[in-house]
Amino acid sequence: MMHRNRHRRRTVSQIIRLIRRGGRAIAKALIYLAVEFTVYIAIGGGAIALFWLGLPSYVALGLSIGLVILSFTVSFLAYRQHRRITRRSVKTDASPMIKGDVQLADWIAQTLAKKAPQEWEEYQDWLHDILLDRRQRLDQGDPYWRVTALTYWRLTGLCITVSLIKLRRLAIAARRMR
Amino acid sequence: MGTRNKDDTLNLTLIEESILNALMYRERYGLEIMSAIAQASNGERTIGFSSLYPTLRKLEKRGFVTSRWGDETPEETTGARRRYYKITGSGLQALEKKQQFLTALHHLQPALGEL
Repeated sequence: MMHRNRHRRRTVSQIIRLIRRGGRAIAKALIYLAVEFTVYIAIGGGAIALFWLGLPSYVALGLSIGLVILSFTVSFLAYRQHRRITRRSVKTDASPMIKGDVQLADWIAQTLAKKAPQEWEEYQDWLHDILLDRRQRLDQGDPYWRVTALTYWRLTGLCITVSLIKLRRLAIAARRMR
Repeated sequence: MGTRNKDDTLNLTLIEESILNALMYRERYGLEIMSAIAQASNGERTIGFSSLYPTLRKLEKRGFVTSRWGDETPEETTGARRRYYKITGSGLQALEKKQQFLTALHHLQPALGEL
């Protein structure tokens, strides 16, 4: 009797595991599909917008693909950097309070202060206001996931803009040196 | 075709004009400027972070606004500080000049025979 019960439990747990795996596979497939669909929409939309602005169709399509690739590369790099910091901090950092988007903000602050002090001096109030708005939204009761996503988006915007400004300054300085 | 002169006081974009107007009677920090613009337009016009701060830097370079660091304690995680912006005399003049130009344009009478 006990043996039968054990066997039944094992079978039930196997079925549940199978259903879970299947569910995960379907969810993954759906996510991939959604991402692919979004990429196509972004490329198509960008190309149509640029074509509408008067650019030749092949230039518009090329530019649109380039912009989508660039935005994906920047997002991937930001995400990878964020993962790296998170892993490192799990091993070394004793303060578990700083995590996620705030940790990324902290990394941005440290990097800018070290590598681009002029830009840090000019744009630190931007970072301050991003985090202030985050706190205000959380206090208002906005959903955590939405606030986090918004903060990541804004931090990415800050990174891209400040990097472009820094690159522009470097290019100008290099041109002057010639 | 005329060239775009950044130093021309009439050459104010809508965002620049909105920011200067938001700073007309009191100094504000970035997030306050964004809220003021959204509030004044009943949420119809909003400025994103990515356009606000670079525009503020441009306005500062053109001498239309000045800034100072806030006395509040810096943000606890990052150490970033709050910055307050204030309109200058040149900024006020630029706004006034733009307003005069728009009023003059609005009241411009068509010459006889033009219609």
